[in-house]
Amino acid sequence: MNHYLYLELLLVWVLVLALQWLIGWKKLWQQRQRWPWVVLGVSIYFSLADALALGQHIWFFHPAFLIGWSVGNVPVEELLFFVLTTAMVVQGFVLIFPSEREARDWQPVQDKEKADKDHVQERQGASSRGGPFGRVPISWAKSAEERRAR
Amino acid sequence: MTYACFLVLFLLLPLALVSLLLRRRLLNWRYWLTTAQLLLVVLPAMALWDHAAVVMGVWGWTPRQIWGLRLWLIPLEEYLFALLETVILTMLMYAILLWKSEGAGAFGRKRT
Repeated sequence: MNHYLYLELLLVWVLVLALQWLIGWKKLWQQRQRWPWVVLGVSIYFSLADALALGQHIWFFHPAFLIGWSVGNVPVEELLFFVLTTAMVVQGFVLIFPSEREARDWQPVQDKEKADKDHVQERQGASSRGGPFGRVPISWAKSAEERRAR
Repeated sequence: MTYACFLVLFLLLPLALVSLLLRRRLLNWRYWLTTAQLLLVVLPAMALWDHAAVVMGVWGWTPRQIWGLRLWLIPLEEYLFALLETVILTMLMYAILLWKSEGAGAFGRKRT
């Protein structure tokens, strides 16, 4: 029996993560202060939920395919699974969610002039505190006027 | 406890909470387009991988605790798990994004 089978299956997701970094390492590195916390928090949450599901025997593992280390009743492979899959989704979101500039280009023509104006004001105004995700699409960023008023 | 009950408690409930926090801000097609694109990848990938693991016997489900409907060897609940997990994650990311761009103090307030 192969005790490394589950671990080997997880390699698929490691490859996907590597691919995401290969394609978008710049964006992912820029935004490193945000998404890792979501990955950490959500994987801890799901690991706890998993402990309960395993306790209730909703799903179960064949011990022959596990290395045998576990935290409580949750196999380490399962912990890794949650970290890898949440990272995959979150990084995917970071990579494909449009940045401000992209979103601006999608706006209808009549809005574009205003959007460009707002954009310039934002850059002159409070945009520097925005950090990695600071450059959000105009449509949901607070307007420059509102920001100045605060 | 059934798998469906688990889904309601640990996925649907938190999802409802985050939705309540975001409310009107969720009416953003760019957010939903991004989420849909991710789901198009996540669901088939999960299904293939999960199916392979079940065939090899790595894990399984207690028949009494699932609905019994399966696509391939995977219970319907498992697809819902992947779907809800993905939406929870994108919603949290979206919330962080808004939170940072609106400022921490403004997040709870309705926008005028």
